[in-house]
Amino acid sequence: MKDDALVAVVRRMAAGDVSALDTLYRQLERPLFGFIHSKLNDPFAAADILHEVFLEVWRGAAGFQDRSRVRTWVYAIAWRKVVDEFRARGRVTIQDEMPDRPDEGPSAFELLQTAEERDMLRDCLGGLKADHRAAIELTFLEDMSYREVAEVIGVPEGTVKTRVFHAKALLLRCLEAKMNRRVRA
Amino acid sequence: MTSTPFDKAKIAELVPFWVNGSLTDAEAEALAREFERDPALHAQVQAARQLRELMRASALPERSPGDFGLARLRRSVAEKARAPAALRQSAAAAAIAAAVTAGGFTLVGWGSSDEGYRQAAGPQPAAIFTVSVRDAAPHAAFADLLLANGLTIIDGPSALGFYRLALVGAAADSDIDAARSALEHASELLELVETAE
Repeated sequence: MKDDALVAVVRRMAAGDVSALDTLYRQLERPLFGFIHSKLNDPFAAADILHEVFLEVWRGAAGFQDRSRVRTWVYAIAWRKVVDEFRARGRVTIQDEMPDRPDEGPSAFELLQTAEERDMLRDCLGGLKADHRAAIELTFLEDMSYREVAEVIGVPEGTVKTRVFHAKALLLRCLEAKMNRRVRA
Repeated sequence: MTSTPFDKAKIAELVPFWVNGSLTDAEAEALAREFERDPALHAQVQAARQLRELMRASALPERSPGDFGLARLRRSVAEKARAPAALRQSAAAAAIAAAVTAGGFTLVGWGSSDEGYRQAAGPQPAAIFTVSVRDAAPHAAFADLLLANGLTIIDGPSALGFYRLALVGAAADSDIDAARSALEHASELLELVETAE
Protein backbone atom coordinates (compact mmCIF):
# COMPACT_ATOMS: atom_id res chain seq x y z
CA MET A 1 0.00 0.00 0.00
CA LYS A 2 1.44 3.36 -1.01
CA ASP A 3 1.88 6.11 1.52
CA ASP A 4 -0.97 8.18 0.11
CA ALA A 5 -3.28 5.28 0.81
CA LEU A 6 -1.82 4.90 4.29
CA VAL A 7 -2.45 8.58 4.96
CA ALA A 8 -6.09 8.02 4.07
CA VAL A 9 -6.15 5.08 6.49
CA VAL A 10 -4.75 7.25 9.27
CA ARG A 11 -7.35 9.92 8.53
CA ARG A 12 -10.07 7.30 8.98
CA MET A 13 -8.48 6.24 12.25
CA ALA A 14 -8.53 9.86 13.39
CA ALA A 15 -12.27 9.81 12.78
CA GLY A 16 -12.61 6.78 15.05
CA ASP A 17 -12.85 4.11 12.36
CA VAL A 18 -11.52 0.99 14.07
CA SER A 19 -11.52 -0.95 10.79
CA ALA A 20 -8.85 1.47 9.57
CA LEU A 21 -6.66 0.41 12.48
CA ASP A 22 -7.09 -3.17 11.28
CA THR A 23 -5.95 -2.10 7.82
CA LEU A 24 -2.87 -0.33 9.11
CA TYR A 25 -2.03 -3.24 11.39
CA ARG A 26 -2.20 -5.71 8.53
CA GLN A 27 0.01 -3.49 6.39
CA LEU A 28 2.76 -2.82 8.92
CA GLU A 29 2.59 -5.49 11.60
CA ARG A 30 5.04 -8.02 10.19
CA PRO A 31 7.88 -5.71 9.15
CA LEU A 32 7.41 -3.63 12.28
CA PHE A 33 7.54 -6.71 14.48
CA GLY A 34 10.69 -7.83 12.67
CA PHE A 35 12.25 -4.43 13.26
CA ILE A 36 11.42 -4.43 16.97
CA HIS A 37 12.31 -8.08 17.50
CA SER A 38 15.68 -7.71 15.83
CA LYS A 39 16.59 -5.05 18.38
CA LEU A 40 15.36 -6.88 21.48
CA ASN A 41 15.77 -10.53 20.56
CA ASP A 42 12.79 -11.21 22.80
CA PRO A 43 9.57 -12.10 20.96
CA PHE A 44 7.34 -11.47 23.98
CA ALA A 45 8.74 -8.04 24.68
CA ALA A 46 8.63 -7.31 20.96
CA ALA A 47 4.96 -8.28 20.81
CA ASP A 48 4.20 -6.01 23.77
CA ILE A 49 5.99 -3.11 22.18
CA LEU A 50 4.26 -3.75 18.87
CA HIS A 51 0.95 -3.57 20.73
CA GLU A 52 1.91 -0.31 22.41
CA VAL A 53 3.03 1.16 19.10
CA PHE A 54 -0.31 0.51 17.45
CA LEU A 55 -2.18 1.83 20.47
CA GLU A 56 -0.13 5.01 20.34
CA VAL A 57 -0.75 5.26 16.61
CA TRP A 58 -4.48 4.90 17.25
CA ARG A 59 -4.47 7.55 19.95
CA GLY A 60 -2.24 9.87 17.95
CA ALA A 61 -3.92 9.52 14.55
CA ALA A 62 -5.69 12.86 14.88
CA GLY A 63 -2.35 14.56 15.40
CA PHE A 64 -0.61 12.95 12.43
CA GLN A 65 1.02 15.57 10.24
CA ASP A 66 1.46 15.18 6.51
CA ARG A 67 5.02 16.32 6.94
CA SER A 68 5.94 12.70 7.68
CA ARG A 69 5.23 9.54 5.78
CA VAL A 70 2.99 7.20 7.73
CA ARG A 71 5.58 4.44 7.78
CA THR A 72 8.25 6.80 9.06
CA TRP A 73 5.93 8.08 11.78
CA VAL A 74 5.04 4.57 12.94
CA TYR A 75 8.64 3.35 12.91
CA ALA A 76 9.72 6.42 14.87
CA ILE A 77 7.22 5.53 17.59
CA ALA A 78 8.55 1.96 17.58
CA TRP A 79 12.15 3.09 17.80
CA ARG A 80 11.42 5.36 20.77
CA LYS A 81 9.78 2.46 22.56
CA VAL A 82 12.71 0.18 21.79
CA VAL A 83 15.10 2.76 23.22
CA ASP A 84 12.90 3.04 26.32
CA GLU A 85 13.06 -0.73 26.65
CA PHE A 86 16.84 -0.67 26.36
CA ARG A 87 16.97 1.89 29.12
CA ALA A 88 14.61 -0.11 31.28
CA ARG A 89 16.90 -3.09 30.87
CA GLY A 90 19.96 -1.01 31.56
CA ARG A 91 21.19 -1.65 28.07
CA VAL A 92 22.02 1.84 27.01
CA THR A 93 24.10 1.50 23.88
CA ILE A 94 22.69 4.41 22.00
CA GLN A 95 25.83 6.38 21.34
CA ASP A 96 26.99 8.77 18.69
CA GLU A 97 30.66 7.95 18.81
CA MET A 98 31.95 6.22 15.72
CA PRO A 99 34.74 3.69 15.26
CA ASP A 100 37.59 4.39 12.88
CA ARG A 101 36.63 3.85 9.30
CA PRO A 102 37.68 0.35 8.34
CA ASP A 103 38.49 -0.66 4.78
CA GLU A 104 35.71 -2.41 2.99
CA GLY A 105 35.45 -4.69 0.02
CA PRO A 106 33.22 -7.22 -1.57
CA SER A 107 35.42 -10.23 -0.90
CA ALA A 108 33.49 -11.31 2.17
CA PHE A 109 30.49 -12.13 0.03
CA GLU A 110 32.18 -14.57 -2.24
CA LEU A 111 31.52 -17.47 0.11
CA LEU A 112 28.26 -16.27 1.61
CA GLN A 113 25.93 -18.75 0.05
CA THR A 114 24.89 -21.20 2.72
CA ALA A 115 22.60 -21.11 5.70
CA GLU A 116 25.64 -21.29 7.93
CA GLU A 117 26.95 -18.15 6.35
CA ARG A 118 23.67 -16.41 6.80
CA ASP A 119 23.93 -17.36 10.47
CA MET A 120 27.28 -15.61 10.46
CA LEU A 121 25.65 -12.47 9.20
CA ARG A 122 23.04 -12.66 11.94
CA ASP A 123 25.82 -13.02 14.50
CA CYS A 124 27.56 -10.02 13.04
CA LEU A 125 24.37 -7.99 13.08
CA GLY A 126 23.92 -8.95 16.71
CA GLY A 127 27.32 -7.52 17.45
CA LEU A 128 26.45 -4.08 16.14
CA LYS A 129 25.40 -1.33 18.48
CA ALA A 130 21.67 -0.82 18.42
CA ASP A 131 21.85 2.54 16.71
CA HIS A 132 24.09 1.21 13.93
CA ARG A 133 21.91 -1.83 13.49
CA ALA A 134 18.74 0.20 13.34
CA ALA A 135 20.22 2.49 10.73
CA ILE A 136 21.36 -0.26 8.40
CA GLU A 137 18.24 -2.37 8.84
CA LEU A 138 15.95 0.55 8.08
CA THR A 139 18.11 1.23 5.02
CA PHE A 140 18.40 -2.29 3.65
CA LEU A 141 15.34 -4.07 5.00
CA GLU A 142 12.84 -1.20 4.87
CA ASP A 143 14.50 0.69 2.01
CA MET A 144 14.08 4.00 3.77
CA SER A 145 15.90 7.12 2.62
CA TYR A 146 18.47 8.63 4.95
CA ARG A 147 16.00 11.44 5.61
CA GLU A 148 13.38 8.93 6.74
CA VAL A 149 15.88 6.99 8.85
CA ALA A 150 16.92 10.26 10.48
CA GLU A 151 13.31 11.00 11.33
CA VAL A 152 12.74 7.53 12.75
CA ILE A 153 15.86 7.46 14.89
CA GLY A 154 15.78 11.14 15.73
CA VAL A 155 19.31 12.06 14.65
CA PRO A 156 20.68 14.36 11.93
CA GLU A 157 20.79 13.05 8.37
CA GLY A 158 24.58 13.19 8.33
CA THR A 159 24.69 10.95 11.38
CA VAL A 160 22.49 8.41 9.63
CA LYS A 161 24.73 8.31 6.58
CA THR A 162 27.78 7.85 8.76
CA ARG A 163 26.13 5.15 10.85
CA VAL A 164 25.05 3.20 7.81
CA PHE A 165 28.52 3.48 6.33
CA HIS A 166 30.12 2.22 9.52
CA ALA A 167 27.56 -0.51 10.06
CA LYS A 168 28.17 -1.77 6.54
CA ALA A 169 31.92 -1.69 7.01
CA LEU A 170 31.74 -3.38 10.41
CA LEU A 171 29.54 -6.13 9.00
CA LEU A 172 31.98 -6.77 6.20
CA ARG A 173 34.88 -6.87 8.59
CA CYS A 174 33.03 -9.23 10.93
CA LEU A 175 32.06 -11.53 8.08
CA GLU A 176 35.59 -11.69 6.75
CA ALA A 177 36.90 -12.55 10.20
CA LYS A 178 34.38 -15.35 10.57
CA MET A 179 35.18 -16.65 7.11
CA ASN A 180 38.88 -16.66 7.84
CA ARG A 181 38.37 -18.53 11.10
CA ARG A 182 36.29 -21.11 9.31
CA VAL A 183 38.90 -21.57 6.55
CA ARG A 184 41.66 -22.02 9.14
CA ALA A 185 39.63 -24.49 11.18
CA MET B 1 24.95 22.34 -15.67
CA THR B 2 28.13 21.41 -13.84
CA SER B 3 28.21 20.13 -10.32
CA THR B 4 30.85 19.86 -7.68
CA PRO B 5 32.24 16.33 -7.60
CA PHE B 6 31.50 14.39 -4.45
CA ASP B 7 34.43 13.44 -2.30
CA LYS B 8 35.06 9.77 -1.65
CA ALA B 9 33.57 9.83 1.82
CA LYS B 10 30.35 11.37 0.59
CA ILE B 11 30.08 8.86 -2.23
CA ALA B 12 30.62 5.99 0.19
CA GLU B 13 27.90 7.32 2.48
CA LEU B 14 25.40 7.67 -0.34
CA VAL B 15 26.02 4.28 -1.95
CA PRO B 16 23.66 2.35 0.40
CA PHE B 17 20.87 4.75 -0.48
CA TRP B 18 21.68 4.46 -4.17
CA VAL B 19 21.31 0.71 -3.79
CA ASN B 20 17.95 0.93 -2.02
CA GLY B 21 16.70 3.44 -4.56
CA SER B 22 15.82 6.18 -2.10
CA LEU B 23 18.04 9.03 -3.31
CA THR B 24 16.44 12.07 -4.87
CA ASP B 25 16.74 12.37 -8.64
CA ALA B 26 19.38 15.08 -8.26
CA GLU B 27 21.46 12.98 -5.86
CA ALA B 28 21.15 9.90 -8.04
CA GLU B 29 22.20 11.81 -11.16
CA ALA B 30 25.19 13.29 -9.37
CA LEU B 31 26.23 9.89 -8.08
CA ALA B 32 25.82 8.33 -11.52
CA ARG B 33 28.25 10.89 -12.88
CA GLU B 34 30.73 9.86 -10.19
CA PHE B 35 30.39 6.23 -11.17
CA GLU B 36 31.11 7.13 -14.79
CA ARG B 37 34.13 9.11 -13.70
CA ASP B 38 35.54 6.30 -11.55
CA PRO B 39 34.48 2.76 -12.54
CA ALA B 40 36.25 1.44 -9.45
CA LEU B 41 33.30 2.74 -7.45
CA HIS B 42 31.20 -0.06 -8.88
CA ALA B 43 32.86 -2.41 -6.37
CA GLN B 44 31.32 -0.37 -3.55
CA VAL B 45 27.94 -0.54 -5.18
CA GLN B 46 28.28 -4.27 -5.67
CA ALA B 47 29.32 -4.77 -2.03
CA ALA B 48 26.38 -2.76 -0.74
CA ARG B 49 23.97 -4.54 -3.07
CA GLN B 50 25.21 -7.94 -1.93
CA LEU B 51 25.00 -6.97 1.70
CA ARG B 52 21.44 -5.75 1.23
CA GLU B 53 20.45 -8.98 -0.51
CA LEU B 54 22.13 -11.06 2.16
CA MET B 55 20.44 -9.16 4.97
CA ARG B 56 17.08 -9.65 3.33
CA ALA B 57 17.78 -13.34 2.80
CA SER B 58 19.01 -13.72 6.37
CA ALA B 59 16.10 -12.03 8.04
CA LEU B 60 14.49 -14.76 10.06
CA PRO B 61 10.82 -15.36 9.34
CA GLU B 62 9.80 -14.34 12.84
CA ARG B 63 6.39 -15.43 13.98
CA SER B 64 4.69 -12.13 14.48
CA PRO B 65 1.61 -11.79 16.72
CA GLY B 66 -0.60 -11.66 13.62
CA ASP B 67 -4.31 -12.08 14.23
CA PHE B 68 -3.77 -12.66 17.94
CA GLY B 69 -2.04 -9.33 18.18
CA LEU B 70 -4.84 -7.69 16.26
CA ALA B 71 -7.44 -9.21 18.58
CA ARG B 72 -5.49 -7.93 21.58
CA LEU B 73 -5.30 -4.50 19.99
CA ARG B 74 -9.03 -4.43 19.33
CA ARG B 75 -9.71 -5.36 22.96
CA SER B 76 -7.49 -2.57 24.22
CA VAL B 77 -9.10 -0.02 21.93
CA ALA B 78 -12.55 -1.16 23.00
CA GLU B 79 -11.59 -0.98 26.68
CA LYS B 80 -10.33 2.55 26.26
CA ALA B 81 -13.53 3.48 24.48
CA ARG B 82 -15.54 2.05 27.35
CA ALA B 83 -13.57 3.93 29.98
CA PRO B 84 -15.31 7.28 29.36
CA ALA B 85 -18.65 5.49 29.55
CA ALA B 86 -17.66 4.06 32.90
CA LEU B 87 -16.77 7.54 34.05
CA ARG B 88 -20.10 8.78 32.78
CA GLN B 89 -21.78 6.06 34.76
CA SER B 90 -20.05 7.25 37.91
CA ALA B 91 -21.22 10.78 37.11
CA ALA B 92 -24.69 9.44 36.62
CA ALA B 93 -24.47 7.73 39.98
CA ALA B 94 -23.42 11.02 41.51
CA ALA B 95 -26.36 12.76 39.87
CA ILE B 96 -28.71 10.13 41.17
CA ALA B 97 -27.25 10.38 44.63
CA ALA B 98 -27.84 14.12 44.49
CA ALA B 99 -31.37 13.56 43.25
CA VAL B 100 -31.98 11.11 46.05
CA THR B 101 -30.89 13.68 48.55
CA ALA B 102 -32.92 16.46 47.01
CA GLY B 103 -36.05 14.60 46.01
CA GLY B 104 -36.56 11.89 48.56
CA PHE B 105 -36.01 8.97 46.17
CA THR B 106 -34.72 5.58 47.13
CA LEU B 107 -32.44 3.92 44.64
CA VAL B 108 -32.84 0.19 44.77
CA GLY B 109 -30.47 -0.84 42.01
CA TRP B 110 -29.62 -0.73 38.34
CA GLY B 111 -31.81 -2.60 35.91
CA SER B 112 -32.69 -2.66 32.31
CA SER B 113 -35.97 -0.84 32.78
CA ASP B 114 -37.80 1.55 35.03
CA GLU B 115 -38.14 -1.25 37.53
CA GLY B 116 -34.55 -0.65 38.49
CA TYR B 117 -35.68 1.82 41.11
CA ARG B 118 -38.80 2.90 42.86
CA GLN B 119 -39.73 6.06 44.53
CA ALA B 120 -40.15 5.99 48.27
CA ALA B 121 -43.07 8.32 47.80
CA GLY B 122 -44.95 9.71 44.85
CA PRO B 123 -45.75 8.38 41.39
CA GLN B 124 -43.52 6.66 38.82
CA PRO B 125 -41.49 8.88 36.50
CA ALA B 126 -43.64 11.22 34.49
CA ALA B 127 -41.60 11.37 31.32
CA ILE B 128 -38.66 9.61 29.83
CA PHE B 129 -35.99 10.88 27.52
CA THR B 130 -33.16 9.00 25.91
CA VAL B 131 -29.88 10.86 25.60
CA SER B 132 -26.27 10.11 24.74
CA VAL B 133 -23.52 12.14 26.35
CA ARG B 134 -20.54 13.41 24.38
CA ASP B 135 -17.22 11.79 25.35
CA ALA B 136 -15.67 15.14 26.15
CA ALA B 137 -18.61 16.37 28.21
CA PRO B 138 -17.66 17.22 31.81
CA HIS B 139 -19.35 14.82 34.17
CA ALA B 140 -20.24 17.55 36.63
CA ALA B 141 -21.96 19.55 33.88
CA PHE B 142 -24.11 16.55 32.97
CA ALA B 143 -25.08 16.07 36.61
CA ASP B 144 -25.86 19.78 36.93
CA LEU B 145 -28.06 19.65 33.84
CA LEU B 146 -30.09 16.82 35.31
CA LEU B 147 -30.49 18.44 38.70
CA ALA B 148 -31.39 21.82 37.29
CA ASN B 149 -34.22 20.30 35.28
CA GLY B 150 -35.55 17.83 37.78
CA LEU B 151 -34.27 14.88 35.82
CA THR B 152 -32.85 11.64 37.03
CA ILE B 153 -31.27 8.67 35.33
CA ILE B 154 -33.42 5.58 35.41
CA ASP B 155 -31.31 3.38 33.14
CA GLY B 156 -27.97 3.32 31.40
CA PRO B 157 -25.55 3.73 30.03
CA SER B 158 -26.46 1.07 27.51
CA ALA B 159 -23.91 -0.72 25.38
CA LEU B 160 -24.26 2.16 22.94
CA GLY B 161 -23.89 4.76 25.66
CA PHE B 162 -27.53 5.83 25.97
CA TYR B 163 -29.16 6.98 29.21
CA ARG B 164 -32.86 7.01 29.95
CA LEU B 165 -33.98 9.97 32.00
CA ALA B 166 -37.16 10.67 33.90
CA LEU B 167 -38.61 13.74 35.48
CA VAL B 168 -38.63 13.62 39.21
CA GLY B 169 -42.10 13.40 40.70
CA ALA B 170 -45.38 14.27 39.06
CA ALA B 171 -44.85 16.62 36.16
CA ALA B 172 -47.08 18.82 34.12
CA ASP B 173 -46.80 18.95 30.35
CA SER B 174 -45.10 22.27 30.69
CA ASP B 175 -42.42 20.65 32.87
CA ILE B 176 -41.82 17.98 30.25
CA ASP B 177 -41.55 20.56 27.50
CA ALA B 178 -39.15 22.63 29.57
CA ALA B 179 -36.97 19.60 30.33
CA ARG B 180 -36.94 18.57 26.66
CA SER B 181 -35.99 22.07 25.63
CA ALA B 182 -33.18 22.19 28.19
CA LEU B 183 -31.79 18.89 26.97
CA GLU B 184 -32.01 19.92 23.33
CA HIS B 185 -30.20 23.15 24.07
CA ALA B 186 -27.38 21.31 25.86
CA SER B 187 -25.85 20.20 22.57
CA GLU B 188 -22.35 20.80 23.93
CA LEU B 189 -23.02 17.96 26.39
CA LEU B 190 -25.47 15.72 24.56
CA GLU B 191 -25.21 14.14 21.15
CA LEU B 192 -28.77 12.91 20.99
CA VAL B 193 -32.03 13.70 22.76
CA GLU B 194 -35.18 11.73 22.10
CA THR B 195 -38.47 11.49 23.88
CA ALA B 196 -39.05 7.85 24.68
CA GLU B 197 -42.52 6.46 24.17
